[in-house]
Amino acid sequence: MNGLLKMHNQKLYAITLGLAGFTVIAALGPGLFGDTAYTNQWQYMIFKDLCHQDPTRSFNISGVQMAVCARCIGIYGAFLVGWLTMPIYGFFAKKGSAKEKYWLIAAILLNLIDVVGNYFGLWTNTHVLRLVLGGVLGWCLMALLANEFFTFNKSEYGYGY
Amino acid sequence: MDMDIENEQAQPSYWNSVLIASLITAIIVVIISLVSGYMTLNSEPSGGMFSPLLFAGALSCLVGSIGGIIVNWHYAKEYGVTYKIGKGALLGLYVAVGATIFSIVFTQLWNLIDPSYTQALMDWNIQNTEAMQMPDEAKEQMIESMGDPNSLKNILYGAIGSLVGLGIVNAISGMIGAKIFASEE
Repeated sequence: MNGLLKMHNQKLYAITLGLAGFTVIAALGPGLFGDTAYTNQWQYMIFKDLCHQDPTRSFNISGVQMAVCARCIGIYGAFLVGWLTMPIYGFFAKKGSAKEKYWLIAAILLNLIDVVGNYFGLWTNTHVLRLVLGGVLGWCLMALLANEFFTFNKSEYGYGY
Repeated sequence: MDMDIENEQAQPSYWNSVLIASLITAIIVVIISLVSGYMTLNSEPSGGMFSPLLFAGALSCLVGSIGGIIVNWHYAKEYGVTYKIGKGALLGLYVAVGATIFSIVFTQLWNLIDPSYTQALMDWNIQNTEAMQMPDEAKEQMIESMGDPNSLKNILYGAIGSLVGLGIVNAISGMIGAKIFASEE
């Protein structure tokens, strides 16, 4: 199996992993460290330009609101989990396939439809639904980048499609 | 390796694209911030940790990350170049720095246009804190921690927060932008 899975851009992979990990820890908010919520806590400051931070659309940890909404924690969380499991995804993904772009477009549309439908009262979405839909988007972002970091030469080893 | 360096050197400057993307991102972020700020001022302080109208609804989520996409789209299409995603991430990071600086400038300019805006928002936040269900000591601590929003310390604190947040998401969206618009595939 040695050499089947090739890794590229190792430094960029490691840096992105570190940044994604930091982002998720920050996004979970002050409650993760047992702190109380002050509006100028560093976690809230980091995401003030990136998320509406609506308390009615956010999860709590230890009774303290997360620094981002349910959809955003889904995006960041799934991106981090996807990044960690990227070698596995790279193992199964076809090299040079364009399907990930369509997945990403579909995930963005899915989230937009959910937002618009909820806004116009066609349905009422829940924290869990927003988390899952955000997670789908975060996963698709990872999938689009996967073959820049991991490739698996199936044909060379008789695993070809 | 030498070939890569030659190709890199032959590529046109990206600063024009960075400038455009920084300006667009800063304008979007400042407009959303101002719109939600005025919406907040028109609402009653409810005692919530954040105003439900603090930012202009769910559509504002992640719009700050658009700079990384715009810069790579503009640079790749304007000059017809291809490059690796690492460069896309770097362009996204530059945009985050530019957008942070421009948003500070635009916010300060708005304070000249409407000098009462920041103070009114501050007063609203104090009233909101006083309406919260918590001990008086904690309320006082929260109000003290707000400080003067126009002080250099608070402006810098906000700028560092914006830079970190925008920097991370725009570096990632920069990779996505480079993959979509500047990939050789």
